[in-house]
Amino acid sequence: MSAPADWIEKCVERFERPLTAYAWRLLGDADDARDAVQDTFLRLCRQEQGAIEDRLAEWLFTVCRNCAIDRMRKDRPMHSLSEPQLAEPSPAAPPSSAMEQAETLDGVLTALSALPPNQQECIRLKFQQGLSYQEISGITQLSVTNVGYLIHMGIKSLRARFAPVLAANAGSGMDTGVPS
Amino acid sequence: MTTSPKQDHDDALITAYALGELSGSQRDEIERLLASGTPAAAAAQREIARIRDFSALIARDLLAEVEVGPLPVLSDKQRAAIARAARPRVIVGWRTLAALASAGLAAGVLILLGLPGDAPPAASTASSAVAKSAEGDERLDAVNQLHERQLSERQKDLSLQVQAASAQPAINEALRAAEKKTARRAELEQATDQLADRKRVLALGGKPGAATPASPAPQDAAERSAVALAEPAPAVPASSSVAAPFAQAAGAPLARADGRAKGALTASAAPTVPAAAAALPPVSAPFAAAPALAAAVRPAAAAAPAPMLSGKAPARPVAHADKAAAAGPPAAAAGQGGELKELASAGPPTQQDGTPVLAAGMPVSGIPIPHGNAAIATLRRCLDAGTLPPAALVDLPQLISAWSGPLAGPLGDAPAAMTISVGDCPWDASHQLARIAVRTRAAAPSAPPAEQIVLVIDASAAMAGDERLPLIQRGAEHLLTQLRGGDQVAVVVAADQVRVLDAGSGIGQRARLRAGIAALAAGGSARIADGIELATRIAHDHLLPLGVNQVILCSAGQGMAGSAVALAAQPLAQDGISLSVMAVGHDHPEQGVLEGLAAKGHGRFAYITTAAAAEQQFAALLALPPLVVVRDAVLQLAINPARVASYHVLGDSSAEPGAMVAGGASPAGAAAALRPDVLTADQQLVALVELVPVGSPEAVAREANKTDEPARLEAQGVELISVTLRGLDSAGTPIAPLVARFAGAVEHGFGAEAPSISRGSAGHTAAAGSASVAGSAAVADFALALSHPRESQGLWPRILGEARAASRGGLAGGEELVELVTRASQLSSGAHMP
Repeated sequence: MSAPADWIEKCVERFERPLTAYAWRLLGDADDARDAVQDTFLRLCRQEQGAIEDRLAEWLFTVCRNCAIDRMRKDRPMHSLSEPQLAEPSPAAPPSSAMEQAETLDGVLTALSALPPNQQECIRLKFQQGLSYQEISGITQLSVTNVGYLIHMGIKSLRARFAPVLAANAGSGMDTGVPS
Repeated sequence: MTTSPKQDHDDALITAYALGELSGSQRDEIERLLASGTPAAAAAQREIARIRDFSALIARDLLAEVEVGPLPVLSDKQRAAIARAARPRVIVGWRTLAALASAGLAAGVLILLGLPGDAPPAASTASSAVAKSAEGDERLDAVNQLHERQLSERQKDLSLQVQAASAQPAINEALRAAEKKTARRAELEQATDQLADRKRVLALGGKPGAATPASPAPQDAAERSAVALAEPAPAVPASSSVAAPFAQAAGAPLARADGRAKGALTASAAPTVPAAAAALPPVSAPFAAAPALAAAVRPAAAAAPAPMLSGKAPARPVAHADKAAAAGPPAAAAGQGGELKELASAGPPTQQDGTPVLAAGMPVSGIPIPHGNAAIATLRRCLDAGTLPPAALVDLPQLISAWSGPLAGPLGDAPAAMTISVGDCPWDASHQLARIAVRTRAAAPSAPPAEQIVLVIDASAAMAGDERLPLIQRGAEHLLTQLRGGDQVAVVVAADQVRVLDAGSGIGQRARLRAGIAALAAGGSARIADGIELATRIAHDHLLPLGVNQVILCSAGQGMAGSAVALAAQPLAQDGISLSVMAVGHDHPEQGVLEGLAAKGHGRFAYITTAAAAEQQFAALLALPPLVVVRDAVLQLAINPARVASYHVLGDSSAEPGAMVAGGASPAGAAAALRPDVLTADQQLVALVELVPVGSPEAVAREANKTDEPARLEAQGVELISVTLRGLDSAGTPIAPLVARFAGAVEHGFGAEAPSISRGSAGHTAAAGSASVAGSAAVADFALALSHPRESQGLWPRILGEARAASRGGLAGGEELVELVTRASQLSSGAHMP
């Protein structure tokens, strides 16, 4: 027995963009990301709805991650996973306007891209996909404690990076949010 | 600003609390702090508020990226492909295909089988199956699903009844009802499978029913147990050759007048065999006996072993019988009352070793194939540490195999040699033990091929401790010294970051690698899957087509998700790269995962506890490259129901309730043990099967408890049991099935007291029978006592006696066995019970 078509359709509708965003960040290539997401949904079609429905998001992201890793393995030249996979923005290039940066999408995304890949991944899964530590642990194969630690360190780094912005906000009466 | 790890840990807790991720005591602790009214509480509250505000900012922008940001979307073709895959399909099941393919053959086959003219149940079933196939798969599937649901519900009800131990008649009634409900379905499955098998025979040019005659097995008259040697079977589906000796017994239920003809349970087991084994000849039932009954019994018996099977608790009949006998009335009570009392007292431990299987219901089972030395290493380590090993880590098949001594290898090109010995069961005089020994052929001697080795060293925090990373470092460094010119090696370090140790190039690479390994320190998370993935890519990129290519995972296994690692390792097999595992660490919850990984990776598994073992095991990786002799190997045990009432493959962990195999749930138990495995060169394994012969008091009592007409299988066929090895060779071609048969008579019949057996007594003398059976029995008794320490408190003197007798009888490693049993018995009587 496989999953019913209407359920698959709803899943595609709901998860296509989140999965594509996730796969795109992992792979850095739009076509590869599409293929990984397609593979994910094709695998979903072979599942029993009842068997995974209560952990659907975790299942989809786990499979998507595995599909992405498969693609990386097949298509890419060997390189150490410790190498930065995304260009690191220059720390000496502060935003021209702190307030503007805080208000733009690119601000957080750019700062996020400077974090180590595992922190990026956990933060995205937490704040972009709304998954719990437990679910992220299931997807990334890290322990829950590790997930918590990575998210904490990621937030800490981002807050430090946004300190000027937040300090400016503080000047306008807002809490700075800068770690003391 | 740098912070200490402790501060980071505390801060991470605050962050987790702010994000609503804490629970239990940790949350309470934070809330107590916040409510304390101290300056620290105020600071924590401010920090939590900031984290929440900042998190909201991050979430807002990240969500915007998904909702409105530029993202690649699936193409129309991709969407269409998904929609096609999601579309309901008409599934042509294997049963249906078999039925359709066999439709034209049904009548002829039945005639060849010599069945009576009036349509027996199975024959009419065959027609019915074909007719149903013609009506459509959905209908058949629906019927099957309905029956499965009904059976499942019935089994749940039955489990509840059994737990309450309230009524034997109710249990029997429930089982009969379940049996009737499933009989129809089983008939369909059996008939279609039989017909499909016959068709395969015909397609190969064989004659249906013209099975290979049984060769008389050599017997040593001086030994109480006879020994059967394996013989290569003709390259026809082994189902026919195995079926031959018991063909008439198999036919018996078909002609039964009570209308309770039962299909072959293995028919339902067959689809549970993973796809890799699908190409093999079907695991068919040599005895077309009462599968539905077994299907009903197995899961139910897992919850409550006794009532259908014997007057004793079945999983370890002896241990409980012994204990009960010492305790008094429950075991002394014969018949149904005694059964109920024992049933009530039989606890979960009895389930851990599986339950006896009615031979008439499930005449075919599987034999687990153990790998590695983890069980014996764990046993030694725990006893050295002054404690008994955790029951979950007592691997009975592995322990029996570890004390098997040198076995004779095969002659000629045969992949393996198999022998069957049958002797007394030391814990129950009315039972017998069949010892099945398998030895694969040796690796062909030749010039050592070049090696490509990729070490994956887990350097996470879980590897901290003298008995972990330092042992791996020692072994890996030793391995490097053993490599020859032309060999290749790479070292992947898996911790927070996954990286390759850079040894530069030119002279001194080896020394630099050794230095790099020696400098590793444990810390951070375990990214084993990523490490395997990287190692896989390296191994593929530098593959030595004529060499030995290995990836070796060195890990404590903690925090490792087996599925992810297995997935990462999957591509290795495509290029013939083996994956071995060197495991370290005291508390090893992932041992099973690691062992499974090595088994699937066609590699070696070793559990390392000392520096000497580290060097030895790492060197062994070079000295004995794991050469696969049989892939997708299945050791199929066939029991003659005319001679055996019920049986139990000792240590068949797959008999646990809920055991799953690829493809869905299986009838818990023996069928699951049919899952294919791998046999490597120079591998030897020993399995024990406890047999309850027909005519034994236990079997008679069971029959007497039945209120309906019991099955009366005619005692036809001389063989007691047979074992068939099937699988694929290294090229993926099915090997000629290898069959070993035991046809020897066991001298001590039933109704007579076995003089050397004293049930439940201390100081038991060795069971008569061959030294090999007695030796393996002693090890099994030891392992069962370790698995069920509380129930086995009073049995240690007997077990020690068995071990000593086995040692005196020449059991290889017998002295160590005696020593270990002695230490375990001392610990068991002390305060070290886990």
